[in-house]
Amino acid sequence: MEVANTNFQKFTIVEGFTSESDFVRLVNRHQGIIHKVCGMYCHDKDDKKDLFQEVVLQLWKSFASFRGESKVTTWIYRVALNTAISAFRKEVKKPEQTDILTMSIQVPEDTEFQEKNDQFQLLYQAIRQLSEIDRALVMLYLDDLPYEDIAEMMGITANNARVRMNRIREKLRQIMGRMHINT
Amino acid sequence: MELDNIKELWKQLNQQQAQKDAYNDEAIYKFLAGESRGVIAVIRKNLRLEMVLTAIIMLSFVVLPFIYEGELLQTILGVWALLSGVYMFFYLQKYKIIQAFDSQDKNLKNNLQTLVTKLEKYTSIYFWSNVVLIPLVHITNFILLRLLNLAVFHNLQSNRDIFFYLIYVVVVSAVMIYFFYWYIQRMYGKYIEKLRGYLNDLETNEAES
Repeated sequence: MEVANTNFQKFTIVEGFTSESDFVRLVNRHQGIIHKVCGMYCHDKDDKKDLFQEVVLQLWKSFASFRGESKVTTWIYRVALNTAISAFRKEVKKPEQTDILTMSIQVPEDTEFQEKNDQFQLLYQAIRQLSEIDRALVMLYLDDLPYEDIAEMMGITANNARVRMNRIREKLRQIMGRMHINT
Repeated sequence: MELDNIKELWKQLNQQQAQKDAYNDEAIYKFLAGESRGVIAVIRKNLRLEMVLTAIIMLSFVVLPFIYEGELLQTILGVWALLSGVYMFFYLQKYKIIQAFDSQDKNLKNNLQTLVTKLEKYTSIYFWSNVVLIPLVHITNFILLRLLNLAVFHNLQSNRDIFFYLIYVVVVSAVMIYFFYWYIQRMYGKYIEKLRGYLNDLETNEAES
């Protein structure tokens, strides 16, 4: 039996069970989403790897029952965010610098771009000071997901998602203000 | 700098990061072969172990009377088998709750609600089963030991002695129940509180908007 469970591809379901190789291919293709979530909630490489594995296991657990009511990317975001937010996490007093903060786009001698990049790094630091829920919203917003999809993943209304995003923008201005940065 | 101005940069940096950290198929297969370290998976694993141990103990209490004769011994083992059965009943209740939570594919709010409800039920049964079982085990053992008329309880005949023994049961039970309360709080209390905080955050903002 073939079931179309994404807007991009089809998976073969044999007697109600989806094949492991299909699943691995799917994770491989969309692992960027999982890395993004792990980067947002973890403080070091080991934590990131552990969370990545946990997300993969949780995705696998719900893979057989995934029937494509939502996009495959929405499903991955949802499971990854649920796993990250509900994970038992070690308390970290001083967060380590995350990988994305040590990276920058390589555009030599483009000072305007470099300036933008520097400001991005500071904004990213500010984002990491938000609550877990707000961080999830910011991440989905930055990924350009429509408010309706964000609301569906978070279990809130689209209007609430908009209101929250406005508040988050204000919070970020305050945090960056405290960091002596003009927003 | 505003959020809307960094969307493009965000995408580029995350793409770079994902390429740097990318796992191949083999690594993903390895992840799949591993064990979940999620809170529910860990509780489930521990419960299974405790249930197997309890089943072995219960079985030995049931089998031993067929090997060793003696009415008194058979009575004692029978009572202990029943006690093990009560323990098993509570384990099964806890296991049923944990089994009902099996996937993380609901939306965040529903997922948190389910997780908080299940964990609250689980910890509540964990605590109240100990409130019931600890005094029950002490009192049952006292009665059995009186039946056996062991040396240490030989003189426990008067009401005064029984009164002191009951005081002992109350004190020891209180200490043990407090220990379990402390242990449950230490293991799950903070975690449930944290999840409840996230849920309140989602619900409060929903009500305000």
